[in-house]
Amino acid sequence: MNLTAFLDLVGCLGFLLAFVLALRHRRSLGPVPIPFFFAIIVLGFFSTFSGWLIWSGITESLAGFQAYSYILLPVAFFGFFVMIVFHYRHHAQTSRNQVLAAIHAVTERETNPDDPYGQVRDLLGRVSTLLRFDIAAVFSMLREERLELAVHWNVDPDLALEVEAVDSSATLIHALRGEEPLLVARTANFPDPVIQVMDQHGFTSLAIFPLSTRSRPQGLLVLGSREGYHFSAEAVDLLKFLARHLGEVLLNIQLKGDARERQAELERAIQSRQVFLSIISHDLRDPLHLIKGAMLVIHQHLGKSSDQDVLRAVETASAAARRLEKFIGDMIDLANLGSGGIHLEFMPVDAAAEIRAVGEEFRQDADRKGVALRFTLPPRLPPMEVDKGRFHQMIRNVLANAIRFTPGGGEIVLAAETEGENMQVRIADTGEGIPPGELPLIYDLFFRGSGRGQEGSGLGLSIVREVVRLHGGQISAQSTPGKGTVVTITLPRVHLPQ
Amino acid sequence: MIGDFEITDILGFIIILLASGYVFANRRFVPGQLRNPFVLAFAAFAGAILSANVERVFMPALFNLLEHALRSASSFFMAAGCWSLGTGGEKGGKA
Repeated sequence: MNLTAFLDLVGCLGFLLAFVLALRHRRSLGPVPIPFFFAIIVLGFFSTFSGWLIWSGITESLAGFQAYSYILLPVAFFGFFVMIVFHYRHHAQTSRNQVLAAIHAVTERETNPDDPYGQVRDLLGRVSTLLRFDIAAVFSMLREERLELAVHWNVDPDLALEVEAVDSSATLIHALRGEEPLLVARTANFPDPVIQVMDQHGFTSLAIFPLSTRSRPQGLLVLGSREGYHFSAEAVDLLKFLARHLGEVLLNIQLKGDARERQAELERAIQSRQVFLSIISHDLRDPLHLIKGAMLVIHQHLGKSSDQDVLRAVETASAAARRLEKFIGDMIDLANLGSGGIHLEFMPVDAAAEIRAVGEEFRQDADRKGVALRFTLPPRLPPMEVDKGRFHQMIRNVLANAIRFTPGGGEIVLAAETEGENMQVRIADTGEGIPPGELPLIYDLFFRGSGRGQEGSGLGLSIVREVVRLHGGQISAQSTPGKGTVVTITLPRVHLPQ
Repeated sequence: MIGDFEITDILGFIIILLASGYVFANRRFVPGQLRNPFVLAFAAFAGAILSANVERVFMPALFNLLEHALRSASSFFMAAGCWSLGTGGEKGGKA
């Protein structure tokens, strides 16, 4: 046998081998045009076989066939590629547009807090259907390199359990940490436990894409097909785009979940604080009432004939008990205001009359201290809707502070005026003022400024701020150290229920 | 015959050229498992036809041998393509 005939014989064996393998793996051909495929192999075989017959001298009669095979075989190859290109290009274009539309639709939708992964599940379902995958899943990687199924579409619960039970999958971990996808066109005999589980459940092809954002791995997108899947560059590009997008979506869901959790924790902490304040305050107030009552009885019983030192001690104890009672009352008030346990009764009032009434309550204290108390109130102010008791409380707390911190010879002015739909109440004093650094802190609970001789409880302005807030208004303060402070309360004249 | 050339060889060669251009222009739509081995088989067969043309005018013994060798090689590229369909692990990145 000459060399040419030998080469042809080897070629015949090659085509036979190709035929057997193609027959065996025909299911993996997917949408590839099978007639063209087998036509190439059969034509190739006969072209080579006829060459062997001719060059080994068996027959010359097949020379014509061999010559024509040089046209037919290229035609078959051409047809084969035309069919593939036509199929994939058409499919890729339509699915690309639809996948992009699906991603866009999901992005526009607001996350449902009760089912944060719902939109991701919908997206997986739509993309899988468009790209002809049978299942889709997003895995997050837990500690010790275990997988957790975060969200999935069409995945059998048994399969999910089996995958999650796998201790470690080197392939998936490698894919998670990489940037490129892992495309498994055939799962059979693939040396990885997770892929073996998928194979046992009938999935012959897998696409595994890392989901990462800002260079941090978020998880894996896994798509599976029960039939051989051919990964065109177009499909892979589309899935890469989806994976990038999913990474961002998952990160957003995670961040929103964290924020909700922190918010809930904060609310729980605030509620606990209110409960604590409320319980402590009540527990303190009851025995204090008893002490105050007992002091009064002792004071009356001792009368004028008693030892002056004892009498002074009893008066001091009574005054301390009153201060403590006021402080506890404020704490209870604040706890109730913060927890929403206060119901305001809005009614129309004459603001000027109410401000004057509250101011007059402090007239004696102001006179005793040598502080002038003046009112700048227009004769006709339109009525405003407030909770009368709480309105008094606002004025009272701010005015008490003003008197406390204004030295003898100073002046306090209470003013009110309308400003559009609002009423502005100003309480200006010529006291020691507040240092600029302390001004933003004056509404904080238990805040007491520096350098003050007469200490308050540190609750008064916190209460005022809460009451103003419940009225839908605002409070602000301007102060010049050494010259005085102006506190402005702005309230809507008409109460709008929220 | 056209001159020294067989008409079938010339036609085959023209078809191969057209097909090559078409495959090259649309290569991104051809999945990897099909593209790599089958395009090699395609190229080897094109080489066989080219050799069949050349052997009629230049170094016939050598190009005849080349023609048969390339045709034979194309059969093994085909077999390799079918094999890759079966074992099929195409990795987009480094394994």
